[in-house]
Amino acid sequence: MTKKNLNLGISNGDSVALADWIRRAKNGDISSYQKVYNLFARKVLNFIHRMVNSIEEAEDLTQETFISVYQKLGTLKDDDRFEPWLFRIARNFVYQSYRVRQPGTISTDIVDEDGQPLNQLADARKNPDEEFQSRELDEVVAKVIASLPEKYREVFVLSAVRRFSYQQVAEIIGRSLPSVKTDIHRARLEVRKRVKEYLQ
Amino acid sequence: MDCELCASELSAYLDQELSEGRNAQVSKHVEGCSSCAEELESLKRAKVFVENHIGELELRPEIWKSVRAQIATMEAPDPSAGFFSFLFTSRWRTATAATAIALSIAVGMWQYLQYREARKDLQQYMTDYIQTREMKDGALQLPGADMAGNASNANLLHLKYMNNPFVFDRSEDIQSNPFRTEDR
Repeated sequence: MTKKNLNLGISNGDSVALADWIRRAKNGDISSYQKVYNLFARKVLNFIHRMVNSIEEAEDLTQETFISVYQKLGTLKDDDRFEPWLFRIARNFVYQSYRVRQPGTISTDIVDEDGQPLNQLADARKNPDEEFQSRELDEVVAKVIASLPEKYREVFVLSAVRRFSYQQVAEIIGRSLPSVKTDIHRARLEVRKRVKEYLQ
Repeated sequence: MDCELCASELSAYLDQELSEGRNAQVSKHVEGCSSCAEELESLKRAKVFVENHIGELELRPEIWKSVRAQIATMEAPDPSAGFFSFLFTSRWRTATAATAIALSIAVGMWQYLQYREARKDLQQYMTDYIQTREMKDGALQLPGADMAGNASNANLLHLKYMNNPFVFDRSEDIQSNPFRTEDR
């Protein structure tokens, strides 16, 4: 009987290698841990960014997440569940930051001279007008997601943005599958309402 | 399937999260219902719009450098995760458990056989001991016992009845009976 691998989004080859990297990392092999980091860090960073709406804070929390994951690797019993486990830890750091954050804190994104976030790459395929329009719409989507109630934002980001299955989302946030399914639907309805004017 | 139920399933339908049966029900309903079809189309457009305009941050190398600097000063998360740690991975766990159970049963059976052997030896020892004692003390020849064989049964009976006042050595009575004749 084969067990379901919940590390979706990575190839079968990476999945087999991941188990080996985790085992070596448990034994203190930092270069193996770096391979694990390279596989998941970008996803974690972007998930956290959607939740806290601040690049600087997202980077800090990503660091803390991966330091904590390294410390807790010995408690991971099932390598096939590494990704949901990793995102659970990231989520915990997000909620800790909510408790620490002062009311009314605004986003402190680092921007360039044109007011664009510094570490977002320009899309070279588009001409300047298209690029500008695209960035505007990116901004719209970012604001819409940021404005969602926390409960809906979380499931929407994990499901619609990070492409986790409903089952994985339920495992990450510790809620039932029917509850997650309902909230994802409500989040989609809310997002649709807010972007309606931009839909062609 | 009614429109209210269908509408509640549309997100899961779009995300391909429905079971095969439910998926077929939604498909069939949408084919025949223009308002649900329009609702589905509207949700699909919003989904595609969001997917096309999700900006992703790039990972700066400095993040790993900070992580590395921190973890380099820490102990290994699980130093016991050496050669034999593969036994505890999901692939090997079942085999390890099955082997452990089989070994436990084998050890249990061996110990049981050892116990039976020891008990047999003890019984034999007790039998031999009683036999030796009886030979020394001169056991009663009780009915059913013969001189050559089955002495053990006689000896066991002797032990059982030795304190019974109604059991006595008949051979002495026979010898001391004044009315006994030579041919009796």
